[in-house]
Amino acid sequence: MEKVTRDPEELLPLTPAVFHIMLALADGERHGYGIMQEIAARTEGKLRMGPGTLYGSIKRMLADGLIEEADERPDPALDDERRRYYHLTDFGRRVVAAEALRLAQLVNVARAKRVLPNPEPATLAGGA
Amino acid sequence: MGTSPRVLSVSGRVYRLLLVAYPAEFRRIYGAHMAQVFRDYCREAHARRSTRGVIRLWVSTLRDLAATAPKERISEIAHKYGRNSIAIKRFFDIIVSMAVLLLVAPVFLVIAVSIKLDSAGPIFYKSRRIGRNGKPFEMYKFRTMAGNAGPGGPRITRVGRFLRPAAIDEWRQLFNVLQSGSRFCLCGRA
Repeated sequence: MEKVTRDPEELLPLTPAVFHIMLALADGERHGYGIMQEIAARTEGKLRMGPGTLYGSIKRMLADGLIEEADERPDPALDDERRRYYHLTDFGRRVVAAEALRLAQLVNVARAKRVLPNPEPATLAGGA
Repeated sequence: MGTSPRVLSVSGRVYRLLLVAYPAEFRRIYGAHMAQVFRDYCREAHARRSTRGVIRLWVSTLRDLAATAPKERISEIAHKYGRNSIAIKRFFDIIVSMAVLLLVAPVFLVIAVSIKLDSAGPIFYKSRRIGRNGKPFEMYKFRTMAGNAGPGGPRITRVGRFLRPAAIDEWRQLFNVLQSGSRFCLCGRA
């Protein structure tokens, strides 16, 4: 069962790699390479995580109860090799939300100090 | 044909070898998954038929490895490799000294004959020197002094007068490199 008593805040801030992986898993379970593909697509190929970074992060996230292993099965879009799938736990979902909120607050500070221009109502470039 | 299964499996195997940089426990659980992800990356680069992509992939993968593998483990492996590199140096020493010896062999022959003719005694002067790890070894030089010279007598032989300024008498040390593994360095008269 979930450890409902844990405070998501105590794991913040997340490392960029962990935050990216959790965002990639936010809309469904993926295997390792699927996580990488999602991150690469979302960052226009700018961020390419190596296998060591990916599985080092996965190991820590499993230990922290942020993600869980799902079953091992082939990906129909790739070959017929079996792949280990991962998904967010409820606690992981709360943690990634808390981290997103923390970052949003930081962005607000940056806007207030005119480090970042205020978004214009209609044309929000890039759709942040 | 963008994806060559052979290239993929070779790349995957090389990457698997590199995984020794990670602790055994981590490797046991994630090694196969990591190699799989690496092969997927390779497949991607090959599908685009981009040689630069493959090179970039290897560079970023090695960087990733250096950043994520535990430092103690890397230095442990480097230490092991360091021991092998002593063997490589030794091999290099032997090759170089053999080549030089072949070149100077005729000169050595002339010197040996003239020492023998010049004064009574052996061709070589032998001296015990302390080598690596305090292990003594015999160091040979061409003899340039008369063995039977009394006090005040001319100890340096005539051939010696010619050999010593050019330090040719020291050349025999090339053999020492071959025999005992003394490093390449013509140690002076001390």
